[in-house]
Amino acid sequence: MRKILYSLVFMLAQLMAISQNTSERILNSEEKLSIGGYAQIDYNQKIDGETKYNGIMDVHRMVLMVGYKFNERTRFITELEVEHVQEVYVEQAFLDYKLKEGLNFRAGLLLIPMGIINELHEPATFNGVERPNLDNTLIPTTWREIGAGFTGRIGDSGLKYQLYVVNGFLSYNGSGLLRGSDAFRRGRQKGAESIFSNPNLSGKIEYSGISSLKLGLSTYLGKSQSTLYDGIDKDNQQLIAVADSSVLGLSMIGLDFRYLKKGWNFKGQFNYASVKNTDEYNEFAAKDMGSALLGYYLEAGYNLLHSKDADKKLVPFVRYEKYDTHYKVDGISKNVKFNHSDVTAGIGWWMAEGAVLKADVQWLGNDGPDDTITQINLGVGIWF
Amino acid sequence: MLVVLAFLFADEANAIDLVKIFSKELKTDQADVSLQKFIPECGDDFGTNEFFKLYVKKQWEGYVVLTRAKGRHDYFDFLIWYSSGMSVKLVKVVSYSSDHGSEISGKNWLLQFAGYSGNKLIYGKDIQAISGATISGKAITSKIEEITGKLKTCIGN
Repeated sequence: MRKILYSLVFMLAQLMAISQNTSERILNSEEKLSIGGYAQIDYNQKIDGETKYNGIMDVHRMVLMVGYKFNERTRFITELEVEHVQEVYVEQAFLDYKLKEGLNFRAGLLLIPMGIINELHEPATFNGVERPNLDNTLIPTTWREIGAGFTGRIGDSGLKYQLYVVNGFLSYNGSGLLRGSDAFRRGRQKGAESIFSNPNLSGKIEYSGISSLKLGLSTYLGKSQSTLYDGIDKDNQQLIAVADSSVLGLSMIGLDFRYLKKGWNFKGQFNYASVKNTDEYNEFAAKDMGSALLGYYLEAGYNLLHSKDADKKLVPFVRYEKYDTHYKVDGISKNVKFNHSDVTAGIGWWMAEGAVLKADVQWLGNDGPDDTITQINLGVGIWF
Repeated sequence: MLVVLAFLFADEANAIDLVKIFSKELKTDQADVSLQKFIPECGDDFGTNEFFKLYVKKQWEGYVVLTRAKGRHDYFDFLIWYSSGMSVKLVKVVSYSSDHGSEISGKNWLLQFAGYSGNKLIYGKDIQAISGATISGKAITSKIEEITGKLKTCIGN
């Protein structure tokens, strides 16, 4: 009896010790709901000495972000997007559960962590009216899939990671969807009644432990999805072989860096994708997918107001991009038009952290015989 | 699987154990560390922040403030440890739920605040900006400036 009493006293003492030395941080009700958003309004004007072109003025994107924190561990985040005023999308919608400090489980519609822009695409976070073209053609931003996995960081080392199992691009739905000019872009299912036949794996490691520098290494591995697998006899090798002809294998890697110091900002990205089964797919679906894709960009900018103000920025910048969706081909001939070299130069005026006016000129070229296209862009970007 | 299940039901994860944090940080036994909660005399201005006096081997080692700032999606908790002379010895993020902006919890980046004792702090100038964590970076910077200013006035150093 005495033993039990002692144990109880000991436990109580332990509990009291804990309650003195620990702190339970409680959420206030106003801390549960968070609302944000971003918008991008663009004017794109092609210019040419001989030909007249109409410009395009577009409310390119208008996005509302809503986050709700159910308790200290459980959050839901969604971004509802209206593109070009009429198209409504869900850009992301996921449930996040904190397993322990620095390790979260996430499930829902997720952004694929590949390169810089796909995840961090708010107009106030990048230079130039439009996102880099590499992040449009080679990485089909905004690339999102339904899936689940883990996000976390390793202590306070500055190392972050993400690892998800996700659905993948749709390559066939009665006809072929993927093509040489824009690779996987038309295969994005965007979480809308998306067809699932093969699981894909997506991961990224980021390191920010070195002063001013952030490094990223992304990878994506898997196979595309096809409607042809639906309803076929599991023993029917012939139908399975036909369905197999309608899918592509994809292994993509991405390397990126961002360097910020004393008003200077440099960033760069490199992507390489190896695509399997393109010879069969191209023949089966009458398409022209490349068997390897390669691209990179480098960008430099300088904040002229660096020494004056924390919020306001005036940033001239220049970006060089090179990307080729026919870096390698299998069984088809290379289309040199798909080997692009683009230069973008311009300026952004941040009136506040999340409010920017942008202007730039782009010289869009490729290895084909056509002349370089010159385009002027003006834009409004907001983020709150 | 079992590990995941263990996490699911372990609810103490939200409690911030300052003794454990400091014993790890100072590489000393947990028994050597103690924290005494106090309310600064001009306490009303400090909202939900918590204040402690830190003792290591019974020696007074300054003040610890547990506070909170808001990142892109979420609030995060961090501590500031001041020397007895009121300059920052350590800033440590103790709870960061969202992964957006969690770069600021990196030890090397937080080292920039060491030695700070209350001047104007401009993010991006005095404090090196960090890619992908602008909101959290600004929030923690201004919070450290605010708390340091108030605490200095309050404690009278």
